[in-house]
Amino acid sequence: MTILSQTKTELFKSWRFQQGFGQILLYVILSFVGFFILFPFYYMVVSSLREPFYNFDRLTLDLLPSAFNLAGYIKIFSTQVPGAEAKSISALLHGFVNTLFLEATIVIGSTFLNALAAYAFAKREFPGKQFLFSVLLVTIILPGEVTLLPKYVMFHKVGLLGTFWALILPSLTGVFGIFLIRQFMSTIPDALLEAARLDGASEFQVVTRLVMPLAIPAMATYALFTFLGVWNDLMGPLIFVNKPGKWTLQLALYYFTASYTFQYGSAYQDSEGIRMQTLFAGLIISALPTILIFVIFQRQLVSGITLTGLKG
Amino acid sequence: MSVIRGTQSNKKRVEIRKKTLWRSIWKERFTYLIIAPAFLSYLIFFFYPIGFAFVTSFTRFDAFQIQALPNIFDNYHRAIVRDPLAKTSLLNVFKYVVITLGVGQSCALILALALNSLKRGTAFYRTVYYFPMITSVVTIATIFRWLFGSDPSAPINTILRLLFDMEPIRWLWESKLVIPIIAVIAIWCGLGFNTIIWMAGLKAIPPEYYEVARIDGASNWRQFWSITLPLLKPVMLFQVVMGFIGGMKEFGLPFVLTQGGPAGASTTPVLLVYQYGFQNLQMGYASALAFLLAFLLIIASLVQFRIYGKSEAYD
Repeated sequence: MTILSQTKTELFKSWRFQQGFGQILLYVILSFVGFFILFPFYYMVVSSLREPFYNFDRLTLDLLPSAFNLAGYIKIFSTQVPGAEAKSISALLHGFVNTLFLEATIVIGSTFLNALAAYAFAKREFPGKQFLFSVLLVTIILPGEVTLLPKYVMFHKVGLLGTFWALILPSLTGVFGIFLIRQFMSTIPDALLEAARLDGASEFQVVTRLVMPLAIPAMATYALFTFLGVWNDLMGPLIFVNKPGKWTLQLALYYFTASYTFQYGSAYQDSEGIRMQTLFAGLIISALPTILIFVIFQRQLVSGITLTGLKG
Repeated sequence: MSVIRGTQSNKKRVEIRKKTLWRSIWKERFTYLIIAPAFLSYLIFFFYPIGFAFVTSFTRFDAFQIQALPNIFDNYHRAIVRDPLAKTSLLNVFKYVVITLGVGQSCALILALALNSLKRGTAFYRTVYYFPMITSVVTIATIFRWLFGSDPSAPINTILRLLFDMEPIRWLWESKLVIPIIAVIAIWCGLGFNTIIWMAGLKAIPPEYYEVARIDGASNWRQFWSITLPLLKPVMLFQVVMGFIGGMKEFGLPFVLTQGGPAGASTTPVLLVYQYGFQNLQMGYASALAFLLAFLLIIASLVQFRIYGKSEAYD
C-alpha cells in the first residue's frame, strides 16, 4: 500500500509526467483557441445546410446540423443581386468569371515581370543599381492609399475607368514580388549562370531557361500570395470597376450581403424559406477556391510569410 | 602651369569616366529593359499620382473640376480644425491600433510560445489559426455582422443569455462598443499570421542560450524575460511598425460592417477618404486627408524605428 502511494507521488513529481501534463495542458489551450477560430466557419456551414423555413430567430442555439439541405447552394446561382444587370446568368457566377480572368492576367503577368526585375537586382551589376533599388523602397514607406484618388481621375481621363485594365495595369509589377523573388535568386550560384553564358546562351535565355526554373519555389509563393490578394480584394474593384457587368466575385458578394439586414431579426423569409441558407451558401462557395488552394499550398505560404515578414 | 595641366587631365578623366559610364550602361541595356516595366509602372501609378494628389490637395477639386481655393491651405485647415469627423476617425484608429497591437500581439506571442514547446501537431494548429486570413473581408464581416447582431436572437446575444443570463446588447450599434468589436474581429483574423511571424522569431534564437541558462538554474519565467523577450526585439519592432501602419489604414472591416456608423463612431481615415472622394466627389479635400494620413504614418514609423533602436534591429 505504502509502496503504491510512494510510486504514485514519485510518478507525479517525475520530469516525464510533468512534461506530459504540460503537453496535455498546451493541447487543451491550443484546441480551445482553435475552437474560437473555427466556430464561425462551422456555424456558417451548419446554417447553410438548414432545412427550409428553419427559424433563425429562435432564442436557443442549435450547435448541431439539423439537415443536409443543398437548396441554398443551388439557389445562389439563380439569385439576383440588388443593383446587378438583369441577366440570365447570376451576378455571383458572373463575378467568378470576371475574377478568374483577373487572376489569370495578374498572376501570370506580375510573376513573370517581377521575376525579370528580381533577376536584374539579384544577378546584374549596372550603373544606378543602388539608387534604383532605394527608389523601390520609398514605395513601401509611402502608403498607397494616397494614390487612389489620382489614379481614379487618371483612369477616368484615359477612359479606362470601369474596365479591367484599371485593375490589371497597376498590379503588373510590385515591390513585394521583386523583393521576394530577388531574395531567392541571389542564392543561385553565379558559376551556373557563367557556364550557361559560356555555352552561348543569351541573357534572355539565361533568365527564362535557367534562373526562372530554379526560382520556381519563390515565384510560386509570390503567385500564391497574389492569387489570394486578387481573389479577396474589395477596395480595388469597388473604386475602379464598379459596374454591374464588371463586378468581381467580392464586389458581387458585397452587394449581395449588403442587402441582408440582420439587425431587425435574421429571418424574414423568401417563398422557399431558404433566405439565410442562400446567403451562407454564397459566402462558402466564394471562399472555397481559396480554402482549397490554402490546404494544398500551405507550406509554401508559411515559408513565404517568414521569408518576407522578417527578411523583406 | 601645373595647376592648368592638372585641370586638363581632370577634364579628360571625367570624359573618360563618362564614356565608360555610357559604355557600361549600353552593355547592360538588357538589364535596363527588364527593370523598365517596374519603373514605368511606378512612374505612372505611384509617383505621378502622388504629385497630382499633392497639387490637388491645395485646390477645390469637386467632381473632376479643379478650382482655386480662396486660401490654399483651406483643405488642410478644414481637416485639422473644422471637420469633427476627421478627428473622430483618427481617434478611432488609434483605439483600434492600441487594442490590436496590445491584445492581439500578446495573444499571438503566447500562442507562438505554446506552439513552439509543442512536440507534435504544430503544423496542424498553425493551419487552423491561419484559416481566417485566407477568407475575404466581405465574408468575415458578413459572418460577424450576423453573429454580433443587435437582435435578442442573434447568436452572440443568445450565447450570452444562455450562459450568463445577460440582456441583449446592441453591439455594432453602440458607439462605445463598435471599435473594440472591430478590433476583436481583426485580432481573430490576424492571429494565425502573427503567430507564424512570432514563431519564426523564436526559432531564430540559438538553443544554446537556453541550455546555458538552464545549467545556471534560471527558471522558465526568468529565461523568458532575460533571453526570449530581448532577442525578440527585432520581431517586435517589425510587428509594431507593420501593425501600426496596417491598423491606421484599416478600411474593409468598418466599410462592410458599419459604413463608419453609428454616427461616425467607427469611421476611419481611409474610409473618410473613400466617402469624401468617391461618394461626395470632394477630391481635393479627400487628397488633403490622404496626405495628412501619409504624413502621420511616415513620422510615426520613423519615431518607432528610433525608439526601438537602430536599423540593425530591423535587418
